[in-house]
Amino acid sequence: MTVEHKDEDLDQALRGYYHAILDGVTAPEHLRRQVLAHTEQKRWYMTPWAPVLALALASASFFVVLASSRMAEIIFGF
Amino acid sequence: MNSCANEVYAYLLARMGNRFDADDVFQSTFLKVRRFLPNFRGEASPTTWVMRIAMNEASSFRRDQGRELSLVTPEDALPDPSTDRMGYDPAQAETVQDITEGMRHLPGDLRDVLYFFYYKALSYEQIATLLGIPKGTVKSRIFRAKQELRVYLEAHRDRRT
Repeated sequence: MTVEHKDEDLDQALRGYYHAILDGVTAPEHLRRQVLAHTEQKRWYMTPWAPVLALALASASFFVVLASSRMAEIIFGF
Repeated sequence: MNSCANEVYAYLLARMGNRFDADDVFQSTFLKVRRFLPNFRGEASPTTWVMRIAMNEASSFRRDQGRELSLVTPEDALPDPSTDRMGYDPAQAETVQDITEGMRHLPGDLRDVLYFFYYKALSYEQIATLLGIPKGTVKSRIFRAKQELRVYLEAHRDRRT
C-alpha cells in the first residue's frame, strides 16, 4: 500500500481502481431481456394509432348500447 | 445497443457502487430511453444522450431511495479483481478496496467526474460538454474529489497502522 498519497500516486491508484473493477464488465443478459420484454408488453399502447383505436372502440361500444336500447324499445314497445 | 448498454452499465456500476442499484437504474434508464426515443433530435451522439439519461436516473434514484451505498460490502458489490484476471496483486487489491471504500464517501457529482476523467480518459472540455457544466467546474470537482479521497485514505492508513 502506498504510504504517501501524492498526486501522481493517487492518479495511478484511481486508474488502477477503475480498470480493476470495470474492465470487461458487460450488462447482464437477464437485464437486457427484461428491458426488451417490458418494452414489448408496453408497445401496443405506445403505438401512434393507439388513441385512434381507443376512440373507435369507445364509439363502437356507444353504438352497441344505443342499438340495444333501441331494440329493447322496439321489442317491448315502450 | 450492445456497446452502449455495456458502457452505460459500467458507468452505473462505478456510480452506484454495487450491482443491485446498478441493475435497477440500468432498467429504468432504458425504459426512459424507449419512452423518449421519439424526442431524440440527434444534437448529441446516441451514446451521449443515453449516458445523460443514465446520469439523471442515477441522481434521482439516490434521491428517491435516500440511501448511500450503505448495505453492501465492497467485496459483494463489485467484481472481485482476483477471480477473472491473471497476475493477482494483493497490494493492488488492497488499494482497490480502500478506494472503493473512499468512493462511498464521495457525492455522485464528484464520482462522475473521476469516472470520466480517469477511466474514460475524457478531457476537461469533453466532460464539461457531457455534463453541461463549465470547464472550471470540472477541474474543481476533480480537485475536490481527489482531496476528499486523499483525506479518507490517509485517515484509513492511520487507523490501520
